[in-house]
Amino acid sequence: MREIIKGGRYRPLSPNAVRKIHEAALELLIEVGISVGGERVFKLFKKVGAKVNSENKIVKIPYGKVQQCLQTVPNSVTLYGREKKHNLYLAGKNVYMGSGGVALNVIDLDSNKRRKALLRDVRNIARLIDKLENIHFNVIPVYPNNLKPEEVDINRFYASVLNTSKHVMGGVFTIAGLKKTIKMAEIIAGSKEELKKKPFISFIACVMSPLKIDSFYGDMLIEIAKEGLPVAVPAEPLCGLTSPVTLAGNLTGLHAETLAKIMIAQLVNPGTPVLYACTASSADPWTMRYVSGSIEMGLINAGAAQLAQYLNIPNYTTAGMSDSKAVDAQNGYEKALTSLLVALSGSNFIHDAAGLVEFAMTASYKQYVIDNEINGMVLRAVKGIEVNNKTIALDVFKKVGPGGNFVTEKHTSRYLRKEHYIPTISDRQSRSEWEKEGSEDIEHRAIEIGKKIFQEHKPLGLPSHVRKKIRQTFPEVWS
Amino acid sequence: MAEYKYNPLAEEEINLIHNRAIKVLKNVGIKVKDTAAYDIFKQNRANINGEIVKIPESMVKDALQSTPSRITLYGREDKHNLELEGRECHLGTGGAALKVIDIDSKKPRNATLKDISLLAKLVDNLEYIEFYLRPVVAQDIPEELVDVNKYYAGMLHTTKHVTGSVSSIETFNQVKELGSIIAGSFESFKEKPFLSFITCWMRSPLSLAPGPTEVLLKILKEGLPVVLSSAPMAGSTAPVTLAGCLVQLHAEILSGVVLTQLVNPGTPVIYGYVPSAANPVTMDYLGGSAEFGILNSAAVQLAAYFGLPNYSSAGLTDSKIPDAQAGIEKALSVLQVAQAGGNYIHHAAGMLESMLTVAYAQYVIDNDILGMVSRILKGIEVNEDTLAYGVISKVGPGSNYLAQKHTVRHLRKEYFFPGVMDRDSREQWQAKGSRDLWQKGNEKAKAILSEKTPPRIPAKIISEIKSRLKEII
Repeated sequence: MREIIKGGRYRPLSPNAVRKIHEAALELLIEVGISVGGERVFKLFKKVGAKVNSENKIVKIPYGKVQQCLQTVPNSVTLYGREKKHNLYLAGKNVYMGSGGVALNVIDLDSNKRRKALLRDVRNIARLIDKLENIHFNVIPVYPNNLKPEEVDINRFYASVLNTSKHVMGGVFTIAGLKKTIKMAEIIAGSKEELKKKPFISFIACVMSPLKIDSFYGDMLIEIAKEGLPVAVPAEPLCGLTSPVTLAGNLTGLHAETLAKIMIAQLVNPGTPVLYACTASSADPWTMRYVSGSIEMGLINAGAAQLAQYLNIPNYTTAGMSDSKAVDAQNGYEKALTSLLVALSGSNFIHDAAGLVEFAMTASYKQYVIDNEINGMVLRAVKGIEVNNKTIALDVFKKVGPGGNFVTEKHTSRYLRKEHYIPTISDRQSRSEWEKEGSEDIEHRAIEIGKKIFQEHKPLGLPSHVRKKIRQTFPEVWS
Repeated sequence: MAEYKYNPLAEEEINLIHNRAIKVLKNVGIKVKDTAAYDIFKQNRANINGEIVKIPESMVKDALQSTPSRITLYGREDKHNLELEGRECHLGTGGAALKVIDIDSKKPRNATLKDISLLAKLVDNLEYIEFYLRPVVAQDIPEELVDVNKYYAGMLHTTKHVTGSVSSIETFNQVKELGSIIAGSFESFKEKPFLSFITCWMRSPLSLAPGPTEVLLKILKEGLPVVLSSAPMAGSTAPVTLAGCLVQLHAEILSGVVLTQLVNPGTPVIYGYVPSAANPVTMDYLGGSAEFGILNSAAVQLAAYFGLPNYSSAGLTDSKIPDAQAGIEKALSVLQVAQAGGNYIHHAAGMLESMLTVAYAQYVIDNDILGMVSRILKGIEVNEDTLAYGVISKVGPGSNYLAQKHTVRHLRKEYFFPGVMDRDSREQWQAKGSRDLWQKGNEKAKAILSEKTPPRIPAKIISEIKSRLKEII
């Protein structure tokens, strides 16, 4: 099993600020309310005793009802991999990082050009992620443009599971597709019960900001909750556009929206494993367009992790993106800054933290290789400094004495790999060595490593009888 | 500044590290060879055994009592003053790089005195770089002229605080004279020091370097602000474990603090360090390792816990060019050390190839990183107005906030406005020539450097400096 890394040494909000935001969100839910598009969700809230208005479809939720629903939310959720080493124990301040997005484009590894994403990209990116150790899960990152809409859901999940034994999470685009996907996962698990016991896939159901649950995502959430499978319920308020421009106002809206979605899951099926989720960001202050690499996004998502920790609900957050079109310094620092902030805050499931560029519209193969290194360094920082007699090493000082050196000490060889992150792609050569080998930047090295992974890495895959049964049951599944 | 929010070490861990550092000073000691410092330790309560000086805890306690917990490093304009205290964060340049990536050829070449002037001008124009620690070693002038000329070239182009090192008592006297002329007298210079000094008096592990220690004693006698900088490298000149490296660093700096307070009780001294981790594969020096940021932020906590202003390092990279690796490594370490509350974080702009090279474009790029990090330090303001309950209920479900007064009123306060970063759509970006940040940084640097600005020292004083200091070029 992988070592569990715990964060929480960074606290952007004081305990008092957390309470204040929580209370303001509760006030929003009762005073302003949520606009509910679908009949099914509307009835759920009506039944539980919310004040509903059938004219404007606004439901106002009393404080006591929120508290009541929160009582059945699990405090820990295990998202399983198909190999035990890939299980994710989402609880407390445990930190995991992985991919995300529903990008429409990819940057191809061979041509190094942008093109439309295809089903084979779903497959290939899953395979790449399977090999990269600091990408802990696969939130299916692209939308295959070459499929009919009704084929998309099951093919996205099947292609991913076939190519990685890490946990696979994804959004779904039709209710029929969701049902087929669950059925397919049951075949792989062996039975409905086995899937529920060890869910190796999970889902995402969004909220529209501000304060709106549309009928599609509402119904989707109801269907997922009925099955008792894990689901993340992200709200995506954008400062100045779909939320107040202030970060505290953004978090208040987010908190109210997410609480409403968590309530739905618990009303349908008490105990549904649900993740408090945040994909909030800001707009560029010059143009008021969505940006994915802003520093405010990092602050908000770290704050959201604290809000979830306050309620003791496992959380899903967003970090590690860049708006740069090039693999340049901006690409590096935007990703590193937001990832470090959110990971240090102890967020459980940090998605979008691999592969995404250009406002999350494009997934880039080479970027997964680079982001794997960022995540590795970030996780090293989150692990922090172990302090005990052995690591303090007073006896080694006595032995080495003033003016000596530690290179040949046993203590050095024993702790070197434990205490020091070994990079996979960063350049640490002297300038002359680097020049001799062609003065390549990190982009070139990432492309080479990516190509090598495709030549060498074989994922776990699925047994042939399972593959056969899936293809027989679902003729729309591409082989 | 906002309250402190990132703690790599727990309080009991700080105490453990301190306790072991005290034991190192008491039982292992420091090597003090051929220096006046030896006599000073000898005349006081230290236990002398050959070249080894062992320092009892009581001496450390006395020194910590008399060391000021707050130092103001002045700019030559009040807006540039830096308060070094507690966990107040300031970010600026650093380094003694030998090479510069030429702004035109984009190739590395030897650094010159002109680079020190041009980089000062650049820094003067980049708002998030708060001080100017001479970043390069001028190699086009005689070695004995380097010290006074680098301070002069810096001050001629920026009114931000200037820091450097001096190689001998003679060149220290020249710099002291320079400061006194600009301030009007030595007394006014000492009252508001707009120049300060770094001494690398410690050679890790636990040995004093004779030359720099001699200069240190001179600076202490004059009572000017001085940084004690120790640079242990985990795995080669310090234990490989980060905690062990911190024990050694803490012991080394405490021995220096004791020395400074014996020489001149109450003199302003800065707890300074550049700890790093050796490359675990080759054992070479690394600036951009993940451990670098952790070590430097933990050391901030050590200094702050014992009430000493601190000097730390962040923003180095091992990449040779301003690529994504440079962005990653810089952002990670700067963010950590700034959040830990580093009082004077040097190396935070311009550096490449660990400490060997600087690039003009990199200063412009790093200014954006520092701006973003400064935004993080401001954190999330939570009060009735920012919680925005009023405007949320006014807009209501399903609408937008674009035209709200609340949005206009808070926009500039809540957001970082980027300098050169790209946020165009791909189509706009292509139409403007598909430039990466290196190109954009270079263009911005050229634009700043081509502006005509008057010298930052009045003409009358320049001629006085030139008549009194023959060494000025």
